Amino acid sequence: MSAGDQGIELNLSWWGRKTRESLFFATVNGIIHNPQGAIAIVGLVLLVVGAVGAPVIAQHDPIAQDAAGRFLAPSTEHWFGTDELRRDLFSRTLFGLRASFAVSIIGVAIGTVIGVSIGFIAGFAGGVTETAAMRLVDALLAFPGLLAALAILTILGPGVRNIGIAIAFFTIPAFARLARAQMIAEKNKDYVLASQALGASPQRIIFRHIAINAFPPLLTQMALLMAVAVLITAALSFLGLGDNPPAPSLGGLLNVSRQYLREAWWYAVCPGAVFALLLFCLNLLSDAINEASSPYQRRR
Amino acid sequence: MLAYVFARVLQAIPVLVLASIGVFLMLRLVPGDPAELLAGQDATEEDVVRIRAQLGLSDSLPEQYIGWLSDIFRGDMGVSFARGQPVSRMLRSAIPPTLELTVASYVVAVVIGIPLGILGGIRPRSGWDWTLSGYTLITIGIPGFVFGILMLWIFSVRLDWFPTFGQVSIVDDPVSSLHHLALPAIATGAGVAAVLARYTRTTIAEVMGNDFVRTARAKGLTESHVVVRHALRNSMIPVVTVMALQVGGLLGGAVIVEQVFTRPGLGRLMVNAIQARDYLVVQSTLIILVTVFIGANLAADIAYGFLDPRVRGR
Repeated sequence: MSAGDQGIELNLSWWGRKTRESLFFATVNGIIHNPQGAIAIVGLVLLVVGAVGAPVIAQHDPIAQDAAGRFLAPSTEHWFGTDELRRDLFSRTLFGLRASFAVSIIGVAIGTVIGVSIGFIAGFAGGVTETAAMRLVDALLAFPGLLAALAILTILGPGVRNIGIAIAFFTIPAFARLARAQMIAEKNKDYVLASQALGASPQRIIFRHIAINAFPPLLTQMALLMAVAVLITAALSFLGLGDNPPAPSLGGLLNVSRQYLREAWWYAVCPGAVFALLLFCLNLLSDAINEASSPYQRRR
Repeated sequence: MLAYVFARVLQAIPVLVLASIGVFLMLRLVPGDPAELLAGQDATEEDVVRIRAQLGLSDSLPEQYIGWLSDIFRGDMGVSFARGQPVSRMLRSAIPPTLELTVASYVVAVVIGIPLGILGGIRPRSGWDWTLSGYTLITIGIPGFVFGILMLWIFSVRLDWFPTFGQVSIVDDPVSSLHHLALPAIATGAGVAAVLARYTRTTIAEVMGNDFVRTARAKGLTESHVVVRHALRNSMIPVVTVMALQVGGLLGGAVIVEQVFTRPGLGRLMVNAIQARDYLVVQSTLIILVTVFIGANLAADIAYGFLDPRVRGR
């Protein structure tokens, strides 16, 4: 959330200098060679492997109540200890992480597609279409992220799927604004005029030409919104609005752990640490993408 | 100046209207008959009929909206089916605790954030600057509610310095109230403090490079005089704006942190209402929170105009 003020930066500087391939690799190179970026990528790879490979990596069933006892401290058998129902907390954390990833990625992806489409169309069409679309976006922005999510959960009812929809909803305005700004910056450039002169259709110009050039800043924004999405998903399940018990979620684990702080500190600390690592890496990554794709944003 | 304030207020009205239409439509968007939804599952046929008449569901949507809005202005927000109480009374008891928490976390944010930002900004790459960077990194990774749980574990459960739950009104017993308030306020305010600190640092660092700062130093003023009288005044403009804009973040944070410390307030009211599908309560809470949020943004704009005469002309 905190790097948001940098995320809006337009990185138009680098698209014209080199061919697109070398540019892409230059950005990736920039991210890897930036210490922050390297840490973020290593951390995220670990977390993604853990989440995707959860069924293989976790040696215990996340739901089965089969450990030797309640509140066992972390050990080689149970890395994160066990919970009040004799379930393995390491497995529950991994599966919770998996659920967090799934909800956030799907939500952000849907929101991105809709938001970017609105922004591109508004920016390209201009006039009344633009004004109407942007006022609507302003109204969406009047609700801070969490309140919007709460409103949507009220309408649709609590649940994981509806959290995904809520995330898509608050992703839309951010992307609509950014995409419109990108479109306005690009649409009068020579290459667009050239393809217009060649008789290309608006769809072709928007998606084949402009979208490709407008992509990098949108990518930075996506990394940042993933961090926000992960945070909101966890916050909502912490509030008890997202769980389908007994399936675990990061927020849900933290919520229950609160009652057992006296008996089992690891119940809160271990899932909390994984969650913190995830947020940390996503924020570092968005900073690194931003820096790598914009020569003007070098560290001071 | 008056014209500027007036123009800003005028600009805020359409946003408020749109947002209130959004909150109003919320209930209409829920699948099913609004009257039956509001009456709850155990309602009798008469209840539904009464509520339907109350909502004026036979009128057109615009008429319903106007009716709803004027009811709110008169302080009549209907009756919660889940608890059988008037919503306005439930709000009256839930707002003070949340207000206490929000104000207290605001104080925490300003007391930590502004000095840290100033110290980091006047001496870039000093120990204070690294402290600031480290602090920012930590608050990015550990959001308010996780930080709250950690503090709850260390300071309430382990060390037993603070109560683990509850709230006491500041009017009834100020000492006990602050005792209950300390940890939640730090949990909510810590993240906002980082945002304020980063902004303050950036603007101070920028201002310190100006010619007028060099002039002030050249005429022999002490460094503290230069910083406080010259640099700080000029760098506070964007900071004040950010402070006002953070109200939304604080409110959202407070709603969640209340849950960590089992404090009564708008957060618990809303979460219980969502789970019980008590739509009227959610609707009323949302309209209050959104109004506060829009009002804070308006205040930010107006404060900006007060502090920077150049803005007013635009």
